[in-house]
Amino acid sequence: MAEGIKDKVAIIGMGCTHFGEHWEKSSEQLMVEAFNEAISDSGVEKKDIQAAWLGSCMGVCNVGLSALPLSLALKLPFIPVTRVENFCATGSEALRGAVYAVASGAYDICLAMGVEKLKDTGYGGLPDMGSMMGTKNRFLMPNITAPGGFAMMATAYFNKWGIDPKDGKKLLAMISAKSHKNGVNNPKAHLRKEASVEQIMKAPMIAYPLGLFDCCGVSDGAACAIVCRADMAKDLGKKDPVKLKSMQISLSSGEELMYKNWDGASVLSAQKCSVKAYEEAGIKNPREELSMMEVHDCFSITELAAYEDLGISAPGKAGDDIRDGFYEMDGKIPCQPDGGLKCFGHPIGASGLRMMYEMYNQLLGRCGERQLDNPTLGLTHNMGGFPAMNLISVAIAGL
Amino acid sequence: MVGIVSYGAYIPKYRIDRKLVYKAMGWLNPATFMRGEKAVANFDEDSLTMGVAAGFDCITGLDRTKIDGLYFATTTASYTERLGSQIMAAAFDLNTDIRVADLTDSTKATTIAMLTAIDAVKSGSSKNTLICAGDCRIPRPGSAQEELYGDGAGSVLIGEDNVIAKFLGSSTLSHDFTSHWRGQNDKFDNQWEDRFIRDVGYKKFLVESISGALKNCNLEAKDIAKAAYPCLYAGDHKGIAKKLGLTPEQVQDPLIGNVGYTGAGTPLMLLVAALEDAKPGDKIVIASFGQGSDALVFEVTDAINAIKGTKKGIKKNLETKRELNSYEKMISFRNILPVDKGIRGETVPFTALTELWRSRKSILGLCGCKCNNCGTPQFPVQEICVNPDCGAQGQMEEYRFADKKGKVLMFTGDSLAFTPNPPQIYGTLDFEGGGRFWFDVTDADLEEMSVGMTMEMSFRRKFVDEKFGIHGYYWKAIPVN
Amino acid sequence: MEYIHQSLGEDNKITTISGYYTVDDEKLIKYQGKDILCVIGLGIIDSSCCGVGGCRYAMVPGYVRHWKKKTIKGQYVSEVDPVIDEKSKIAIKKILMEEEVVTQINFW
Repeated sequence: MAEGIKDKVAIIGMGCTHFGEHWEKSSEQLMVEAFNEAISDSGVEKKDIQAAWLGSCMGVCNVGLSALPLSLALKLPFIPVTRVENFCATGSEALRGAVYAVASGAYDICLAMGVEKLKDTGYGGLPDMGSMMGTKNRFLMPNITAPGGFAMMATAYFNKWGIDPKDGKKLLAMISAKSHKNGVNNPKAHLRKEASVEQIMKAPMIAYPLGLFDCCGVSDGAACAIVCRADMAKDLGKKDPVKLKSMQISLSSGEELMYKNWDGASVLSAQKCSVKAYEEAGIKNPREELSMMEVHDCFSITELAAYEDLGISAPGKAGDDIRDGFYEMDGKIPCQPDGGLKCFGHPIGASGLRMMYEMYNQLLGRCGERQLDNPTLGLTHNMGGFPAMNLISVAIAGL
Repeated sequence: MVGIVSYGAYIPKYRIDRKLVYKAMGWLNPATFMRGEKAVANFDEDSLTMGVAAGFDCITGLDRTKIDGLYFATTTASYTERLGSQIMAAAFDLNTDIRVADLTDSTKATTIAMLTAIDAVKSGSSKNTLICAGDCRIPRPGSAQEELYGDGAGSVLIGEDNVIAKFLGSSTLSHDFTSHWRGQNDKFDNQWEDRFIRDVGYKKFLVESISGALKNCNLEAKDIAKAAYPCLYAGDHKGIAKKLGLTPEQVQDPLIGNVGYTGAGTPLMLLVAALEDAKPGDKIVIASFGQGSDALVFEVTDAINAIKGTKKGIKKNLETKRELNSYEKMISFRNILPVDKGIRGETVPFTALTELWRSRKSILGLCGCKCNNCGTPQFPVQEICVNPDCGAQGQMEEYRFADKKGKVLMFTGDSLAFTPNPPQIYGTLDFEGGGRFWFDVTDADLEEMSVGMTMEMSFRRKFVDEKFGIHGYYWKAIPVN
Repeated sequence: MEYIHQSLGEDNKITTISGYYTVDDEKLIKYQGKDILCVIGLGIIDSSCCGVGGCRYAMVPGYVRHWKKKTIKGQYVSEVDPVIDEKSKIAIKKILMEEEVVTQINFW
């Protein structure tokens, strides 16, 4: 009988580089930097690592395909190394590989690395969608960008719940303002500058109704995690080790895009994934039990929808919670305590691991100025694709 | 009795006031001034897509399995080798055992196509041949042609059942009269001196072919209800009528003041315009011009009454218009102005032609499938039913979405996606009868978009890989007019 | 509604991770005998996930009821009535497109 992974795996070390436009740093340098922080945090040595997972989405942009970039960068001694990719949830997918390997009992100590270097293309932004979605979609997909794909969900959400577009824009601005403010206290963030709700509301549009401040940007960065069997962590000197309570992912079946059920106003797979994650973690009331979370705020509307899709805000009521400050640093469930994608940018392979890096450090009380009061359970929500066709990773870590 | 069974037309929605063109380029050649407006194809339109639109107008409501021939007449084909008519046949979802042909290289190609189709039906080798003719000719900026030329297409179905205008006779005049020409690699139309074209060719050939056709049918000028022939020079257009003994009322308005001269499209577009106002018994003569001239005479039958008002034709297309208020946009649509697309916009992934072959029904025909187990229409063709409560395999039958309308579930106006006509609008449609998918939207302003509005599908050029010379065709959603 | 005036000029960049915007000009345009506040700015998107772009845009807070009636933290605050009527929006858009070279016009 399958048991899930709750409390079977501990994270014993994590590292994360500064995220930014690292014109002078190669992906190799980024990986080594993240690894160094993780390994010195972990209490183990490189030779103890038995298997590794490399998460990199846009391999052809810089890092390269196969898992060789990781094994060569870290000089891993002929151990199994696997490359994984699942669009923007690649980072979480790399962690999931390492975690499941340990939970299965096949290995004791594994490593997960997420890295992306997007600034070698010669232009701003990711490569055109046409080359990423398969040969059939080259003919069939509309000329869509990520902001546009998510903007459609915003229109559908405001329409469904009867929210005046101006009020809706303000909700999005409040979400964005909160994240920008949180990022100021994070030395590893790409952008550490506050933006007021006023300034955000007055910014020009990118894809109606998403404006300049509702969209994340591209960045270079790497993040790393070392995991081991939970019972080994104490022997390595970890008094209260951070353990994975759940790592679930959920992918679209095609019914959102091609069947009549979906109303466009939420992310179906996030709803289904979080139910499975809470079940695995033994969480009955996430609104009461979660201490904090990092969600995939590629666009402000993604975060808004996540509040409800994760079963924390009631359907249609996320606005009330936002206005009440529920998700602020001094609120009930602080969201994006590190500033999120808005402040870090989105080196795709690294983001999922960067989210866990924040949860990990918060749980261990290491976050300095932005430390939350005694958090016990943290959730990361990592999304790839579009609301119409996507994949969601929900991971829960705790003490 | 062989003749025209149905007709259709298409005029691109964008119209530009000729004053704007003159304002932009009149300083170069002040003699080019013309009045009125002309039709400008959107960046995602070309002679093929316009031909498809005209063809759909023609064949909607008819049994497509009965069409056994398709001719495409144009001087502005997108390929020198790859049949445009075959791409069209896929868009119309016609049988695969039909005769197709591209007739090109002259603005006379349209009437050559008509005569050939009529012969084919007369001989019994075809029962119904569809003809689509259109042009998107590219004039040099500042030229007189830039003021004169417009974009558009017409279509007729030639057959012998339910004929609305029977073919009476014709006259053919063929000369290697090189008034206009384009070499293998020429983008722009070249022409010889106007006085030569007018005096030696235009004035003479049209009189000769039209009067020849009338003679072959034992008819006189007074017997004609409408004479429809291209207008290259306004004064001489009238002069030809005089020479033929036609009164101004007998001359079909050549659509210069509101569409422009559409090259290969013109003979059929003028024919459609004439048919829209015709009554049973009317005799209509149409003529082309280009390396000579062909003229054909038709007599309208009683069957015309059943078809009137059911087509968009010329009238409804004229009414459905949008202002194009930028000369620079017009020339960038035709790639006369090579605008900056950025490195990101320039990197076009290679087109997998194997995929195009496998998925041709979905891509060109907008055919999906319908699950016979649960009745769900779905697009594109699926191996496994998309209905989460069904999931059946191997129970799909073909289902065409091209002629279905849909309601907008959601949409956006994207200012970041590269498009020659920003912002890029796209959305998800729920089709009437079932089925859902997302599409680019064209010929629409962001302000007129709303959740729940109805849209219909239009065959367009989705992308151009200039390096490898590949034009990718697919469908976009447009507002219903 | 209260409109807080922003600092003008290209040195006052309001930055986000995907780009920035600056406020170039504040104009009062006359429409049907009333003053309408229009703010002209330039947005640059040079680091977003999906390419580069930007625009010269106009934002229309609305009809001026009380011009710069107070200050909050050193910034002027005016009282405005947002333009709601669709016909007026179309007319104001036309005036702005002709007088200012903008490619995006947003109404409060």
